[in-house]
Amino acid sequence: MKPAAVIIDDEIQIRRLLRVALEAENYQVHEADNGHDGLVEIANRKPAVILLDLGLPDMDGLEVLKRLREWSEAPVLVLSVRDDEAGKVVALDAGAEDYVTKPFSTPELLARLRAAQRKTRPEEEISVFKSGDLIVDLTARVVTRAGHEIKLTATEYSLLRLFVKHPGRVLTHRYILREIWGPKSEEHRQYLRVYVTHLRQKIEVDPATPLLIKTESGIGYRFHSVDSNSDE
Amino acid sequence: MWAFQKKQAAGKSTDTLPDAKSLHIPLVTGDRAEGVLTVRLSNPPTLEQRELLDAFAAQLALFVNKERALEESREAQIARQSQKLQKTLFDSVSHELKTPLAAMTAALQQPEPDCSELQQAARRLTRTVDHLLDATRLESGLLQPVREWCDPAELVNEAIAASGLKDAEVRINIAKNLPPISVDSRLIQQALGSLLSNAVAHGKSEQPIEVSAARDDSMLVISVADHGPGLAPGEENKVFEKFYRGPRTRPGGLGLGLSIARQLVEAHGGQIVAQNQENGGARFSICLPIGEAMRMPSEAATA
Repeated sequence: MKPAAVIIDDEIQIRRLLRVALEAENYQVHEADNGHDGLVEIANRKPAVILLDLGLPDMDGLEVLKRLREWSEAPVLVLSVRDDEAGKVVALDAGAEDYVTKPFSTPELLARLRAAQRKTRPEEEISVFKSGDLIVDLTARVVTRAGHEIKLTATEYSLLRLFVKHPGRVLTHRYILREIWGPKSEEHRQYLRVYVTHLRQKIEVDPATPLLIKTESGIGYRFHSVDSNSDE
Repeated sequence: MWAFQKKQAAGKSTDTLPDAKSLHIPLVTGDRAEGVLTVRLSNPPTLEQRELLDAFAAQLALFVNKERALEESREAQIARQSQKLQKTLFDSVSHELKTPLAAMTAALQQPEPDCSELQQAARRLTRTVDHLLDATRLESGLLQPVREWCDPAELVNEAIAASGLKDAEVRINIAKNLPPISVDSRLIQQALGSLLSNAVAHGKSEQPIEVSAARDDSMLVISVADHGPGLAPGEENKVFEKFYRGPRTRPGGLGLGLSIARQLVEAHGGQIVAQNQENGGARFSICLPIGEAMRMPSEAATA
């Protein structure tokens, strides 16, 4: 049986575009043009993935997200417009897996879709991460490049570990701060970028053009792992 | 009210309502009353006092009259300017929206739609809409920089990567050991992006754009220089005005990019300047105050 996908968007053109892209990926596509019908569709179809527009006619997309999160764990990809960084961040922090910005490119949409469905794996599942000649061994807590050990500070290692465990997924500033510094993380917010810079200088081949840790302006960071993307 | 309408004094010590507690003297200039001066008096005024009050009322009337005339002419001027601005806005917006739409329609009507033509038009349309939204947001004061400590080199490199410039198209010269700076990286990169696309539009394609970052005393200076024809005399400030389109500008564009860039930089307490280079071409510089040095929270020992 084909996996189901539910699209909730009031714009018929957007739904049509998404349908074409998703059907090409072998999904059974169901559509809803408002939040209420969308929730009904999700309850009935048990989709493998949900594409949710934040601007819906009957209710706020964020409200739809919060309600469905009470009973569904299905990954949600938020469809948003440029410059609504605040809206995206709120949606991600409310349980959306990722977002795409309209107008979006189909390859990008599909890549995000795949990453969103790759649920956060339990720690023991990814114990060793490899990218090029960089090896991160989470069990031994050792990071090496071409056989040479890279010395990381405790913060840098925690950051790297968090990234490695969420390949291809966007991580919001707030999520990273909470995961690493816990509830009293606010004082670290303005330094997060500096920690990332330091980490890049140690693990990126060319820190000026980072390939592993990409900045998502106004939102957070995304860990691109060439190796783990190609194994799909 | 009576004093205003009749342009005659009324109240205490006058022929009209002499028993009132106050004296009302109209402020008259020519045949127009500008207002009424009301004086509350315990005793009827002496002749001298009354003359002094009349003289004062006359002076006041002149002053109020002059202010009103000035105000009216100012309002008329603002109305004219805003009309002109609205016309410019309307003309350039409709042109910038319609041109790519026309190109798209034409491309779609061909037996085999020209995809690159369509893409180009879509990009132009996107840019126009983005600029309009940015300008509106800046105008409404909704924009508040969210500051975080940033490595200047990283800021510049990310902005260049986002602009889509190829390695051969840009020469980067970033000073070593620049101190971290507390800015909203997204906004500063957007301002830099504006300067980069401006340099692409005005530079010579065979010569790379030069991007540099260096410290100048208490300022961080990020410059974008091109090898194009440079700025016409007097354009150094005008280029940052809304809807300004230089005489040497190629067709296309709203003339909003640089004005948006200036507002983004100014929101950080910085400055943006344009000048010609000695060896030709224009140089745009973003100057940001470096401010206090960063103090990171202390960290546990290494892993």
